[in-house]
This record gives sequence, C-alpha cells and structure tokens, in this order.
Amino acid sequence: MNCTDLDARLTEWLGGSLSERDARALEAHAASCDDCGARLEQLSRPVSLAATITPPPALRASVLTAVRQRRLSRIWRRGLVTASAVAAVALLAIALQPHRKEASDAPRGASMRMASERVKPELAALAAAEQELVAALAGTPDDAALQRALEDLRRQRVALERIVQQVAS
Amino acid sequence: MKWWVALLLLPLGSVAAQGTVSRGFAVSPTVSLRIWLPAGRVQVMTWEHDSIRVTGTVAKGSTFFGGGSGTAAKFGVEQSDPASSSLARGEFVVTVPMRAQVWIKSTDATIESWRTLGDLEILTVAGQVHVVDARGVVTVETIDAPIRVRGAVGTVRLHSGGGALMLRDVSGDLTASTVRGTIDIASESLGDGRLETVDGHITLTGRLRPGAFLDVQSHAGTVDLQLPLDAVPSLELASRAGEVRNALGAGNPKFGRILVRSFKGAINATGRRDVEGGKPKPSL
Repeated sequence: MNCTDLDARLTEWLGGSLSERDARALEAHAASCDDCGARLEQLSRPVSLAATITPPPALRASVLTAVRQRRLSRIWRRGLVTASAVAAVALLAIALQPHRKEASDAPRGASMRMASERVKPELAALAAAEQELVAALAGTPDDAALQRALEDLRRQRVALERIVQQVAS
Repeated sequence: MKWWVALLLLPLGSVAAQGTVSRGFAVSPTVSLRIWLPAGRVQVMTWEHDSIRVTGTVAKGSTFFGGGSGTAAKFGVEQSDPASSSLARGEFVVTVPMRAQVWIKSTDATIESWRTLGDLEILTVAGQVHVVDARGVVTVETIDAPIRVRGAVGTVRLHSGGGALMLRDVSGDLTASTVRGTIDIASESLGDGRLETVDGHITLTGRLRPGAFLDVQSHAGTVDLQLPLDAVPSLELASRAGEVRNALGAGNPKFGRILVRSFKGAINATGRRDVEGGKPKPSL
C-alpha cells in the first residue's frame, strides 16, 4: 500500500469497515510513512471523540452542500470523495471537541455521584474497623499481626477510593 | 446522494435515538476490546472467528458509538443530551474472538461473560457481574455489585465494597477482597489465594491443590471452613476476640495450608464428606 492507496481507504479504516488484511496493510504503511502516520493519528483521535456527538444541523448542511457541488465535476469526483469525507470528519471533530468536553460532564457526574454515595457505608465500615485496631495497638504497639491488619484495611480503603476515581475518569 | 451521506456518517459510527444496533468489526484473534456501558446489560460470548459482532438495543436518549480493526476495537453508549444527568443505557450481546481481551467499564449494568480465553477486566459501581468459564485472568472491581464466577482456571482477582462474591469451581490463583460483602467459595482444586473481609462472612467449601496456600483475613466477619476429611490442609487459625472452633486438628501440609486471622470474628473449621461425582455436600 502507498500514500494514494491509504487516502482511498482511510474512511473505511476510520469506520472500522476495512477488512483485517487491508487494515493491517494500511497500518503498516502508516507506520513506515511519517506523513501518513501523522495523518492517521490526527484523524483517529478526533473521530473517536466525535463518535457520540450529533453534528449541528447547520454544519451538517454545509458539509452536504459542499459535497453536492463537488459532484459537478466528474473528473475530480473520485479524488474528492476521499478529500471531502476526510475534511468533513476532521471539521466535525474539531468543531465539536469543546461540545464533547462539556457533554461528558453531566453523565460522568451521575456515575461519580452514584459511586460516591455507594462507597460511603464501605468507607464507614473500614473507618470503624481501623479505629478498633488503632485502639488495640495503643495497648500492644508491637503486635505485628495487628499492624499488618491495619495496613490491610488501609490498603482496602485506597483500593475502594481508586475504584471511585476510575469511575470518574 | 444517500451514498454520500452514508460515507460521511460512517466514521462517526453512531446511532442516535432509540433503536437497534448490529455491527461487525474484523479484528485480530487477540484484539483488545473496550466497552463502555453505564447502565443496561451486556453479554460477552466468544466464537472461532476473527471478528467482533455487536447486536442489541440502545435506549431512548442514548447514543451508540463503536468501531475498530486490527488489534483494537471499542463500543459503548453515551447520553445524547449533554445536559442529561441520567445514565446512558443499552442492551448488547457481543461476540468476540476466543482469545480477545475484554475490558468493560460500567456504572450500574448487568455484565455477563461466557467461555472467554483472554483476559477479562470489569469495573463497575453497581449492577451485577456474572462470569462463566473463564480461562484468562479475570479482574473485577466494584463498589457493591454482586459478583459470581463459575468455572475459572486462570487467576481471579475480585475487589468489592459491599457486593457479595460467589465463586464456584475456581482452580487458579485467587484474590477476593470485600468490606461488607460475603465471600462464598466452593472449589475442588483451589490454588494459592487471599481472602479478606472486614464485616462479611467467609465460607470456603472444598479442597486446595497440593502445596497451595490460602491466606484468610477477617476483621469481624465469621470464617467457616468446610474441608474434606480425607485431605485436611495444614490449619493455622487465630482470632483475637472471636471464638475459634477447629474440629479438624492441625491438618497435613501435603494438602496445602490455610492461615486464618481475625480480629474479633469467629472461625469454624469443620469436615465434610464427598459424595459421588466429587460434588461436595453440606458440612457434617
């Protein structure tokens, strides 16, 4: 596969409809060609971000109008298919990135709220158990088993807090 | 014109509004698949094809996205309305290559998997997790989703806050940690493992692999060991303030070793007899 072939198959690759063999060939070329590699990386990133976004009507209409105009020239048609599609995707992605960032906050907040609420009784149980162990250690500070148990409880708390953070990320 | 529209929308790979989804991706046999499903249900199955098939429905107000090829693929649902604070929802059946590595992130969904050879990693706040016949490493982290694992030969790592953990026929190395949830294990060939709980009740029925070591830690939860009379592993049971009842004696290290420590929980070690087919029956 060369640079021209990559251009022709790029939209299929972005959409995941390229066969495995062709996808590998395309990725192999991109890996060996700086320009294509950079283009692939640049395009695949915004596409993944834009994947859940409905484009604004005005933007979509303008893209479709541009596409109609391109049909007028049969000679240029084949080359412009790829060019306009790639441009449209890139345009959509760039235009919608700020919306995507804002859009993700509310649903993510819902997950975060649920995680924060659900973890409360678990953290309370851990805190109560920690208090008991700390009190016991006050009487026998050299008790290795108690020290280890306390470390285990603290490790469990950290693990739970990490789960909450991962849900929010 | 429709051809153009389809071409333009193809890379977005999204389904807005309520509807059905049916997608396929050609991938490598060991593809890494990432799934985002805040709420609903996802069933992961495997087949002997180098492709991923996703079928299902997307709830109203949620949007499907997905795509992939080669070594990586992903799909999921998100809220169509950026201002909505409800969870995006969908129900999917996903068929992946046998050795695919599957990663699932959820908030409140039912997650089920069958017959996976590759690694399986699940992160969810609530909902339910059910894993059947897993050969690769299984990792589940949750705040309070109950987790059931039946038939796992690889390493199993379960971390939960309040969710109950139930394991059947696990034979690989095991880590099961919970704060208030119960841990219920029945296995005839348990490997090395660590079980820990703060307030939850731990029940272990079955036998260890020769040489296996099981470390059990409880703060206040009761620990019940129901072990085969003909293969009692070496037992070390200690509770600072709880009652310890050992009806099996010190055991024999050739059948493995179990160390149980508790701050104030009771510890019980009792025997059981095996019945036909090697299935355990309730403790004596």
